[in-house]
Amino acid sequence: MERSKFLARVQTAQASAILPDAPDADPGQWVPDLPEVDLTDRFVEKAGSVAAEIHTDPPDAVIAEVIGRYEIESFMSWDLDRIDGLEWLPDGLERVATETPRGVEGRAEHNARYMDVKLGITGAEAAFAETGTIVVRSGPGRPRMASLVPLVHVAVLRRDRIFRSASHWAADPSARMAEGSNVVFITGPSKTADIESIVTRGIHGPKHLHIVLV
Amino acid sequence: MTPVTFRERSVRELGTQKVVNIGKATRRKTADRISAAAAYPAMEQMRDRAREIRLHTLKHLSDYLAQFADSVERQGGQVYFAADADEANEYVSRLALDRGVQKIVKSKSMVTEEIDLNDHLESSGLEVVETDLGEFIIQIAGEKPTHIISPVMHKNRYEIGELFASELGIEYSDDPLVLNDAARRHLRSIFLAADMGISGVNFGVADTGTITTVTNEGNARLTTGAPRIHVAIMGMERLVPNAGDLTVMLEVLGRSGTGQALTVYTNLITGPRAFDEQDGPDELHVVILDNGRSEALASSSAEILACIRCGACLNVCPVFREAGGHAYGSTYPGPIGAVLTPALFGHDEWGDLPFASSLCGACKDACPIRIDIPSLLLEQRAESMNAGGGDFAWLKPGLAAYRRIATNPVLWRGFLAAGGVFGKATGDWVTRMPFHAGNWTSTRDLPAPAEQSFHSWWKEHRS
Repeated sequence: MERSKFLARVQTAQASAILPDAPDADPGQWVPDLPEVDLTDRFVEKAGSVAAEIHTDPPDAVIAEVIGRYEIESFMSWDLDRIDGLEWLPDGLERVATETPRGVEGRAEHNARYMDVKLGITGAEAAFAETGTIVVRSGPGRPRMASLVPLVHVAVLRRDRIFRSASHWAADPSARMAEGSNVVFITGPSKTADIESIVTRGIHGPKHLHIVLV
Repeated sequence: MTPVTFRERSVRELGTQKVVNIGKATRRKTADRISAAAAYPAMEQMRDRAREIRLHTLKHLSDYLAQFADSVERQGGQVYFAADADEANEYVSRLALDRGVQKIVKSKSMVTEEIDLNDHLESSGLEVVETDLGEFIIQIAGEKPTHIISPVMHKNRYEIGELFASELGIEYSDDPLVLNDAARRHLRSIFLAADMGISGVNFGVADTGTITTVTNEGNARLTTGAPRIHVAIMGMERLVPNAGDLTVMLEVLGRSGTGQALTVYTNLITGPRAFDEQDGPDELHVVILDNGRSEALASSSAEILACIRCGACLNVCPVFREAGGHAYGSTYPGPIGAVLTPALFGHDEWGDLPFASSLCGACKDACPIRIDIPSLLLEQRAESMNAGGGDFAWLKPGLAAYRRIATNPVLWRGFLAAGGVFGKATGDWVTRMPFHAGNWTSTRDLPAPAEQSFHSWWKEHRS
């Protein structure tokens, strides 16, 4: 249907809609009243409750430990200069390329390399204390697949980027929600409860999420 | 009236293993929702705010739709306005054929169930695979979802284990983790080879053109990120004005749907892959669907379009718990479906659904948007009656006769006296009544009328 006809039909309908308590003005930017807490403590508690593992050791030590723990042989990563607080990427491991071909040719072949990659390393530009969530934004040198296809995701987060809640972040000028084609809020590792409401981890995304505070 | 009625379908479902499974899962989800709300001091404020945002958006929907479409296009996406299911299905299948697409992955989307998109694509020779674990199980079982957020709530792990053994060729297991890992492996290779990903939209943000998908599994991230074309299909009412409004909606959605403070992956998509990005789809298409929504918006049940599809009302509904989702025969079951289905698709076929409720009000109490579902059910019942469905032909003359008796003191006293005689004859309970009144007693008993009316008792005792 033509856009103008479609919208005209909606306009006619909304004029007779019975919505007595609909406010005329957009309710506008707003943040909930929440009790004062230590943001880092709260974040650590809440992220732990959704099965993320929180680390305070230096990120290179954490990554080395993770590589040993999960017997990792290959990894994918954001570019080093895109990860605030990280100065070293693993050497001696295969680094899976993330530059995906455009168009019809080569994409499936490229994607096939994501089948078994075990480790993904990214930054996280913000976090929500109340829900234990990290914010991961795509962009140049920051492929979205690095936080999604590996079995283990390690994200480096600066402590001063922890906000009280998602609404507090959205109200901050740094949020810029529409910048980058993909922004994802990650609250724990991938899970499902579709079989008898029993939680299992790693159905499509990572089974393990490690967040390194710097 | 439907060729098959709610009553007939529910009789088939009652007492089955399916409904036992549903009963367990809905009670658990309700307990999770209540504890998540109790743990969040801002929950009630959030609900008030969420309601304001949704109602405001509906009241100004055409403006927000125009703004949203402009924003999506400004970010490099393409927008198509579909008046009905046929237009939406045609657009998607033509696009797929045009772009040489063979394999399509889908993340869970009720709106695509509503328009039967999979059947349409398959009849065009395209291969479509559902990737949400629950939807995948439904697809290989050849069934329909039973719940809007837990589509396979009606199956237990033993049934799923047998299904995986026969359909995926793996060794039988009823361990959910083994089944989880088998599905991961099976679906991962399909994702990576797909040409097109189709998702629904939980919310569209008008001022930025951002669309959001909310999943725990991450399948929507793969669906929208791995193939070269992403098609998002959105019911036209699912907008919020801006980013601040979005975060309010997300917080109430997670807590109300599954009792999570926030769902694992909230995926915000603004346009296709940018020129300087390493991955993401080359093309983004957003299909905005009416399909009866403008009629619903113009009706007395406009408020139902404020629904955010969390499923909380299904989980608390005594009728849903006992009859299950399939008894409704519609994409949208439960209290929300009993209003939405006739409001979108008319009373000729769906006029009996609003009667599948005891009007207990649990749905209104559970709804994060505080939608007055019981009142809307009554509105829909009135519309069914006015549409003149066969079952109601007797009701108007019946009520007119009752009105005549009840407004005439002499007739009324005679009626009560007759009731007393009748009551004495039947014992404590009336289990059968004659003529159309038998519809009422076919599913319930009525306490027998007292031998003496209160009116005459009072006359004897007041002095």
